[in-house]
Amino acid sequence: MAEEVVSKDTLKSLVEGKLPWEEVKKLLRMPHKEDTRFWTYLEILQEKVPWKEKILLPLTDHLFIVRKEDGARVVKCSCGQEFGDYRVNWKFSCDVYVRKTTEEFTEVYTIDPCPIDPDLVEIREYYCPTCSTQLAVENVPPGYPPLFDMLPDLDTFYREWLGRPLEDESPDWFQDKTGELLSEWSAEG
Amino acid sequence: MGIGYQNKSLKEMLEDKDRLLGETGSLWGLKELELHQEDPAKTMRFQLRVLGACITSRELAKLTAASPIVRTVGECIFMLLVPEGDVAAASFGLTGHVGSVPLQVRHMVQLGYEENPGIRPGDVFANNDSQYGSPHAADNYTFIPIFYDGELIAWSCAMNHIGDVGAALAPGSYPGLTPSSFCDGFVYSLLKVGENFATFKWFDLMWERRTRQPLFNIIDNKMRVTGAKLLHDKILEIVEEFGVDYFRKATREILERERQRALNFFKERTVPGIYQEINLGYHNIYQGRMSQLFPQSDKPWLITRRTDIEVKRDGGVSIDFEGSNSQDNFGYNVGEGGVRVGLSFWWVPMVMYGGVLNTAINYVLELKAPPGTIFSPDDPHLSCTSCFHTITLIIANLTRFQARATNSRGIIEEALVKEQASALVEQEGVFENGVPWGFTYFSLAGADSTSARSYKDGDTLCVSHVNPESDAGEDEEFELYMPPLVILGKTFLPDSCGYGKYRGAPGVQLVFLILDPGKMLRQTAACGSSAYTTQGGSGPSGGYPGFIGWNMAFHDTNMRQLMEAGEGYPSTLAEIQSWIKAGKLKVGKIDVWGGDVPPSNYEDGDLHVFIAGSTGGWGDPLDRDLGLVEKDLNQGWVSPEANKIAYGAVAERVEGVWKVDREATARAQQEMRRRRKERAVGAREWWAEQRQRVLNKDLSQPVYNLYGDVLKYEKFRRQFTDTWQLPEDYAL
Amino acid sequence: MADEKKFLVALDAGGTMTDTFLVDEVGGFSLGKALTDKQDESQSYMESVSDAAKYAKLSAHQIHERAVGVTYAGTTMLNILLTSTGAKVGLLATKGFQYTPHLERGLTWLGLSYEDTMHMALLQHTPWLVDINNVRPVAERIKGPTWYPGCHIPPGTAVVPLREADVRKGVEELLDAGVEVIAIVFIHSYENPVHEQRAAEIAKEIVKERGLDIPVVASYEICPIAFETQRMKSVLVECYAGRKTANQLFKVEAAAKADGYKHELQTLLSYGATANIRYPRIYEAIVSGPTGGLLGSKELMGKLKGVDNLVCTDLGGTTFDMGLITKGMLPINMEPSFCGHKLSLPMLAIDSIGAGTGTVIHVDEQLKLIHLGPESAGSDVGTCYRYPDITIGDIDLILGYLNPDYFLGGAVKLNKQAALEALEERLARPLGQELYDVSGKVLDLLHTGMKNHLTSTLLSKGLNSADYTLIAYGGSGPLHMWGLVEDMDLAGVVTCPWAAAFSAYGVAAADYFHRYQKSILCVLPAGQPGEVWLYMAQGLNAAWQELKERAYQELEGEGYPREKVSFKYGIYARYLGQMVSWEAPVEKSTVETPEDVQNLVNAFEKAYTTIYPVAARMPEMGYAITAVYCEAIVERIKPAIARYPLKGAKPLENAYKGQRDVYHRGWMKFDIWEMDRLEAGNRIDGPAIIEHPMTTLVIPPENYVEFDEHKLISYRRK
Repeated sequence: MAEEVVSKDTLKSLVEGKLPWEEVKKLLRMPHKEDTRFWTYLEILQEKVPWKEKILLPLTDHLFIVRKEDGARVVKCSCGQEFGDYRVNWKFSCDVYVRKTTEEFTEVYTIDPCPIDPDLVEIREYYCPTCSTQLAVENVPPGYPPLFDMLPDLDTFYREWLGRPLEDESPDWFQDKTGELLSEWSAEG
Repeated sequence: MGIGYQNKSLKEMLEDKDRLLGETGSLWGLKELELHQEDPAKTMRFQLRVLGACITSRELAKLTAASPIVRTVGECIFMLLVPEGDVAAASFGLTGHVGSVPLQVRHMVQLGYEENPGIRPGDVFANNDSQYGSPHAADNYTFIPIFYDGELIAWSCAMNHIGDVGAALAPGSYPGLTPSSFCDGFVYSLLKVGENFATFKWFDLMWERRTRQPLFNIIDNKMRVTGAKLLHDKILEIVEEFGVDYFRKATREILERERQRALNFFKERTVPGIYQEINLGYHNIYQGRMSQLFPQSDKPWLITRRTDIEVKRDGGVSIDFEGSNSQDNFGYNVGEGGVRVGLSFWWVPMVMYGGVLNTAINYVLELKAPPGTIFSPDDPHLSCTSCFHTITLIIANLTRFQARATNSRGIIEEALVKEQASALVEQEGVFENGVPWGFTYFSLAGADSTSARSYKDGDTLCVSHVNPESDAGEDEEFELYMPPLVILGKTFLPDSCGYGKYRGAPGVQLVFLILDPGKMLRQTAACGSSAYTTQGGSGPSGGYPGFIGWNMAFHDTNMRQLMEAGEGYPSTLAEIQSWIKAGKLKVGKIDVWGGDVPPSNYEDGDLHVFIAGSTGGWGDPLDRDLGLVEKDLNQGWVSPEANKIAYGAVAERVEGVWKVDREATARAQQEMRRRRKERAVGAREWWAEQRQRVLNKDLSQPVYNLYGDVLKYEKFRRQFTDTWQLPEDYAL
Repeated sequence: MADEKKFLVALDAGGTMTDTFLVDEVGGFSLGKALTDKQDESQSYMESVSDAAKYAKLSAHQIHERAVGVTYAGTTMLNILLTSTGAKVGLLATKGFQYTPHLERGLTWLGLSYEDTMHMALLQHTPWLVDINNVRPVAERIKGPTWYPGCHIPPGTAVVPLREADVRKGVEELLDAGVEVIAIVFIHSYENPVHEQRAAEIAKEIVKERGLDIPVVASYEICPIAFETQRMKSVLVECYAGRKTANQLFKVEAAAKADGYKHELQTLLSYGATANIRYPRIYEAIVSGPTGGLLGSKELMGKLKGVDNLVCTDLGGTTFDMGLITKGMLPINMEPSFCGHKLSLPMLAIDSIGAGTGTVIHVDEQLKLIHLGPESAGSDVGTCYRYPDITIGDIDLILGYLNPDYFLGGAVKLNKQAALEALEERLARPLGQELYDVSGKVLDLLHTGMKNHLTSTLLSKGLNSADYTLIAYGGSGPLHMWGLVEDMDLAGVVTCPWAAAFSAYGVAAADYFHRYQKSILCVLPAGQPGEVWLYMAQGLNAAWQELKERAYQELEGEGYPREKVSFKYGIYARYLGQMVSWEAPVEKSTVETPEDVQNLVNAFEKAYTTIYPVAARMPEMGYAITAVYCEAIVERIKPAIARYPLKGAKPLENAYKGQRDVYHRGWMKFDIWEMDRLEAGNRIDGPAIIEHPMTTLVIPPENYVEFDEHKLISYRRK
């Protein structure tokens, strides 16, 4: 049968969590997801954000990798706050609040008794400095390096998978530069 | 003169296959799928026929099985393998267990089984040893070679999960305490257990002498051989129909085509790049029980299961376990067979569903784990008995990565996170009249919950990773098998979900009452994950991870008197607590276990609360649609108090229906955002504090031990020292 | 003379069509069809009867006046569940089990295809039968039975007394909430109903006090069977859909009476019996798929031809259904699933897969894969009629099996050109294959899928196809019969001229009886003397007595005095340690001697080994009887099947309709015949196609068919 294509409206209401389950099931049953899906998705997201920079890739509900005028690829919050180069774990540009005690745990795990053991884990909440949206939660042992949830290989993605190469390709775009930032920090003390 | 194609030995065939894969990148160097190109409809029909053969073999074989697990949870599977061991087709059932089969054949081939003991028509081989590819002793595999004109053209393979493995320190299929492989029970390594399609008598005697449920185990073995033989015969019919050349070529083409399908799947639905995921567990049941006999095992473990997942240019996926704990003297080690099975728990229902079940994806998933880690133990005397604790939990990591990727790609509908753990309660007892009994209550292993998706809340008890046909069973039936246990309640545990824009599933809480235990009742629970740590890791888009596996026991109660006095009984944890507060329910000792339960004794009137299946959320709770908040309030899954705390939702009950006050809620949420600002510090400041803390080694003992261990591994050590900018010689 | 004739009228209403089978006392029959009117089934009932009457050259009124019986198998129950439009139910459940109907055991995959079941993201709970807020907990507990007799608290002991206060509070609150019916389901009530009984009394009092007309349904009355989820679901379905369904049936009866029918309407029950629509447990009128077909096959082949091993296959637009009749026994499934609900009620075991003329063909261009279904065009056939996607029907058409101008007797014109273009563009070209050749192979795929289903069902019961005669019916049965049975080893292959309305015929052929069942646990440990077994088995007598009493009462209510009622008995039993029980008919309903018990065990072993290989026996484990049942039967008029004088093998000239080019693995000429003009004794040699307004019978070159004295059509190899 001809390739099924999900309409922009359908995809939009799915993004907004409003698509009826019976419709969602139809999407789930598609033997192949249509090639145009990603572009439709970007359109929808671009229309939702108040700013103009071109979205290259959405990372979370609120964070997007965008291209700046000057060609930089930075992480940007739906509110407009920017988190710098996407190759640096954006969590290091957030406000951070860490829950360390059972009392603090019970504010987010509202069961009694709260079984989570402060000796084993802490709960890290990463907020956007501007809109205070909660961008990530980490339940990890104290001292655990913040997880770099996702470092995309954008050039490969656009060239090889989407067939629309980015104009400013460079092997340099696919590396974790978080270390560099942190060594600066420690250098500056 | 080998027994393979064109008189090659299996070893040569395997080497050729590996070489061609290396040289050409495709299986057997198949650049073109000729049969498929020529006549796709015919290959589809061929595929249907071999699939049909596997399914009917299972249907018939199941009838001869005895163990409840096979009959109810359908825990068995039948597979068709190519000579080199790859699974080309498989039945329903324990679909996850296909992953490790190729490895077991590879072992037989590389160990020279063709010469000794020899591989001949009618031979029956069997294995349940983790050293040679089975996850653990409970998973028993039976292999029968399929010969045509003196050539081994395929294998038929049967597998099922047995009820008791005869372990030394604990009963059941999943014995909780195994400080060394010598405590694993009846483990046999790639034996030739029969000829002429029948098992040797001595194998029955082994089951008889080495396990607690010999009758079941012997009949299950009979079931596997019967089914494998049946599949063997049906395959030969198909060979007659299509011709042996077609069969040889078509089975290979299926695998190469499916390898390409898997690559396309990731290219179509994900984003290339690197994803870091971890998952936590705390296992403390060895501590205090081993000191005399196994001092090296007498400690608790905080376990991190780290996976760095890279989706590569060609769609291939590499999974690096470095950063996970080291192997140790416990049962949580997992060999490559176990890892492969754990991975299939993920890829069967979430990647390779549809079409015909096979192991082609093994060539798409590259595994990395430094030797000596829990994911690749190099000491053969360490136990893998509880490996499912380790492997079912990495499903959370893999589904989180997949959900992040598919969601970024716009394939939102498939963005499903699945936090997972095994959850069993195992009993053994002796009635007043001296009659012994034993059972495993596997209701909450038969079905569990899905986590939130980026467009909907999680659902309780609706799926299973082990078996696509999830089934939590009937408690009226389970009670037949465990007379002293009365189930007082199997209900949702309100407020137990991980919150988020979309919340996870509220877990399920079971309350058991012990009545007339007779001479003895001992109970353990296997939970995999632990509520001490939650599932751990990074919840998607700012949602909170869920937790699974939490037990409480209330001893020396006045339940009898309460019931006789017509007071009824408490059916939930909350009710037990409020009855205790009110002084109505009298209790003595209270035990809390945030995870596994060690073997513990129970008396008349004791209560045991067993909780599982609470899963995590997606997104910032403050983004939650207030309509959904009202729904949760009205269905009682999230309490008004919890909704206030988690979402700032201000609600009141009007004529029995909960309504959210939009304005008041907006104000409350403003306040919460303000509070966030107030309580949070800039990342740099936080980083500086953390750094100091790490430098000062100001860490709790379990955490200190954890880093002391995982910092042995170079890559993780680099990440750790880079992150906190530590001196080269930093050590714990 | 026509106007003297008496008639039997039977209807089988499906989701799409309502079929009528109309038969006179000498076996003259005619068929009628109408689109099902789900809002008001009395409408489609009348239309369908009128349609059949037309062929009999009579009016519906005349038919109704002369009808000695009308049986109507409806679709209301199904429709209510599919559209979630049932009653507002209130449930009193044992405290701690309020959420059982919502957790529903995690059985979220019931009724899904293999592909969908494997796709985790698709699994979702079934819509609720009772709102989570309309459940009230009642503290009480009856101790259940155990596998360890004599080792623990006796089964049926009330370990927690009923808290009547909970019942009162619950009922008051539910009535305040405005529920339309109250269900009561307590744990282990099948073992001892005393708590449910008392709770029901209290509930009825309160309802009465309030002057309301609200039914109270307790599980022990309608489903005294172990397994709380299934029992709860069964009671809830009765409460949710029972009344609405009964009302529809009464509406149909009213319509029939208004048109001159003098008797009471009968309907079909899930286990293949008919019953007066005043039957108290109307939820048993859940009819899954074409139940009638099995009954028809049993009557036709069993009574007429003495063939008692049958594979009954029904191929329609959407599903391929099959049921097995072994040694004349109808297959009963005690735990059927229906619309995503697993129930505890006896239902004829019919296995379905998505396959039919409407089945959609998916082509995966990248990997050159072909997938059939799960979607179906149903009565929209395909691109050749009213459906956007290519289907099997399109292929049947372009290959020449289907006649574009004679679909539903010409009522529907099929567009061959449209099908050709669609298949070329979406099937042949993407796969780089020749159109007709690949189309033929897609049919092979469909047939292989059907064969797999058939053989796995047979094998899973340890049965051999060579012992079975296959009977094909349903609108598309005769059209694809050739492909289904090709190179299958069967005792015989049969179809009939009224294949298209065969289920309706089966409805007419059903027996009138009620089936009653009760869970009980009687453990017979291995190696114990007969006296011990006799002692263990004492409970059975009372159970059977109880069931018989209920049967007498209910049948009296339906107008049948005790002397007209005869009984059949049976047990459900297993080897100790097994998780499933098997049905075994037994001679008598009393156990007085050790021999009697031994006979029960023998009956079980007999049943077990007819289904499973002897190797699967495990007498060393001992036995457990888990339920008893009885069937209470009364006489009923059956449809006569005409016997025609045998004519010669050569058909009449006017039956011949010419030739058609058909692509049957290559182009060839097929003779075309008119079904209604063929006579008993005729033989038609392939390549040939026999056309009937409602179906098409395909006969390949290497086969032929013969019409016997009843016009049953035997399909054979030359």
